[in-house]
Amino acid sequence: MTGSIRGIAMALVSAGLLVGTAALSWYPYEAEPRPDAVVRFSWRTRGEVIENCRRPGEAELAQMPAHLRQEVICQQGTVAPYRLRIGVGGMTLLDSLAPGSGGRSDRPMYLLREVLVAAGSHRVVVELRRDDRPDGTDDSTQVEAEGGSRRARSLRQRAIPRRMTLDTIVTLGAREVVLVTYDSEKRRLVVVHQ
Amino acid sequence: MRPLTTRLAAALRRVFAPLDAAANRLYGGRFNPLYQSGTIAAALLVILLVTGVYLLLFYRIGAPWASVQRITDQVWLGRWIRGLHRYAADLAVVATAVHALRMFAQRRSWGRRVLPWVSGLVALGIVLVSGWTGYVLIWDSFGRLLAVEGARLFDLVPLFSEPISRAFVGERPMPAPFFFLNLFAHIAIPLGMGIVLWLHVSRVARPTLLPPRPLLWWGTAALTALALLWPVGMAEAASAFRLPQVVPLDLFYAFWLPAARGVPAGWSAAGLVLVTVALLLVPRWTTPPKGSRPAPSAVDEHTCTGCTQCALDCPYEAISMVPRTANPVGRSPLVGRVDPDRCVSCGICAGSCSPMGVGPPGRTGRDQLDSVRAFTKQHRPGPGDVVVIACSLGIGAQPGRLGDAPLHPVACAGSVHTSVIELLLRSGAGGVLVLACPERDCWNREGPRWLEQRLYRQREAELYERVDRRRVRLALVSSGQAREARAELAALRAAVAALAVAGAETAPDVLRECETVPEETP
Repeated sequence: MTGSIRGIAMALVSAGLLVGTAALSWYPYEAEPRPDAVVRFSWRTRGEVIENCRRPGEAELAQMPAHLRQEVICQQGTVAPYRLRIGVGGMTLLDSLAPGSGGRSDRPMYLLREVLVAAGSHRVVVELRRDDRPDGTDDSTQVEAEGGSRRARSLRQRAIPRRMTLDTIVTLGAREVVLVTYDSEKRRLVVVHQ
Repeated sequence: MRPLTTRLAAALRRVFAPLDAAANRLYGGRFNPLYQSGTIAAALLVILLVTGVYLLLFYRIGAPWASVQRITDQVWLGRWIRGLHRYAADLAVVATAVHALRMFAQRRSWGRRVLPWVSGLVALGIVLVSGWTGYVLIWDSFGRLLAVEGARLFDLVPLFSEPISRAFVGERPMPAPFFFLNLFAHIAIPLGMGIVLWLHVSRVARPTLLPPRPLLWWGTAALTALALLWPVGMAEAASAFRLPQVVPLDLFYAFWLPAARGVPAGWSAAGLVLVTVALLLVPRWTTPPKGSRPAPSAVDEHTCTGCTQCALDCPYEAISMVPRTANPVGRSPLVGRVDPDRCVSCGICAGSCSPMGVGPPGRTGRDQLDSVRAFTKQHRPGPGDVVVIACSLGIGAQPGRLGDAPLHPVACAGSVHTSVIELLLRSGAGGVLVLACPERDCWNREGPRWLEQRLYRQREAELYERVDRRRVRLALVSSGQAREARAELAALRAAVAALAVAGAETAPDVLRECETVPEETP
């Protein structure tokens, strides 16, 4: 190979390699080939806290140091169980208990679920409610009657209502996303578009 | 796994052989980018650092996409600097991967090379993670895809109080701390690269950190030209409420993304863990069984003259000079000592020792002379014959491709003692052609370099002046360059044919020339 031919070949090969690099660096990947849309359900909510509380008797109070005396004594509570039902376009997507996170299920409930739907209008139904016992009672009755601990009262104020529902029609264009989430200020489920 | 990795390494060598040969013909052995993959990766890191500092001046974590768009459209040289940064990052992945594959193919991943292997893998990981965070910083549709996939993986780790994936649902705008964290990782992780590179080369002597200057400057110029001629654009801004139809993917960093998006995050994590563990286990899988591991070099203290040449030549700093303790009277105060934990048994010290007092068992200069005597007895080379000494790790691995020339294969051409060449000539051979690997392709790093200096530049142990250099030729050819090797052979044959016929000595004794001074009796 003579010097000039070798030089030309070297330049061509180098240019080819570099152009190949640039092409692979900007590869048009079809991320969403179908013109579907997405209904996204995502929130972070706190369930109501259940505590077993009692009023100590006078004899018990007398035995306590003065600074530890309380009207109500509560054991550390748990978070009330909730049931979540999600339906999109007449299909039930989810119907299950929604436990709190953490080892003792006493942390906030998180949800992140996406449903691929065809572009157009769809009925979205969400129900999140306390999973009360079949006899209609629940563990929080005692708490509410007694007032509960200060922490429990604070958590109850931040907790979601006992029952929340959303029944709405969402209209989506191709590759649009709509978010169903919990608005903590309005204390209800809302639909968020872009 | 050992047989599998051995077969895999052999298959890779077969892939590299024609590519190396083609690149050698085009660029020459010194500038072959395949040989220089390690130094090219280091040079690209420098380019990334410089261009990254420039981009950092204009990047805003409060408005990531908008600030990158501003860099691209308005900032002086911004688009080109971005292009240079991106393409350098892409080629850094390629160079690092090629370098790792070469080391694996050449079985340079076990023993004392475990640290370079593992640190190289860490460097590759750093490059990939830095690229990942870099693309997230742009916060375009591609960056968002990467972030979401990363979050899915992180959510498998039961450490975070809230699923990280929820950060990208669109409930609230992306918080600036997210981009600050990414920016911090994008800058801090590569800073750790300095330590990793130091570890990577800490066990070799005279590490080469950058490519030869012509390759460095031409490569940088070519990359700049690419950034000018093929400037990087802007993908659409990331949006939680719009699915991107087509995303411009950087396949060097996101080759895994299409597959990962289609499977549960657990599968992706399992794949990642499997690949990582397999790569980390390569040293174990490539370690030869105990009985067949090459023995480290040893110094014959009786013969050692304390000249320090072996310590100077050792490419792995495995030989040190220590005070002589046994029979020191009348001898040099120093004697060579091999650290077996650092020795890779390359045998280069055998070629550096004039009195032939060092080398791996069976491959010292004296052993080489014995081997040549047996060779000449078998082949009886005549005055018109050219004997070929070839590296069995390179072109000598396939003797049939060199024609009918008598072939004397050696473990590494760099370990050949110059007395071997003299003995071959004095035994009647018309010429000696030494076929060594190109310097940057030497499995033992510096073999061809030292050999060339011993033959032509008076480096210890040099080829004596009395040897007719017209009958000796050194050619650096890769295992795929049989055509060039045959051409060298033909050229030397023609040169030898033009010379007067050399007469063979009846009983040449080269060793006598190299005997040490007898010990003085105390």
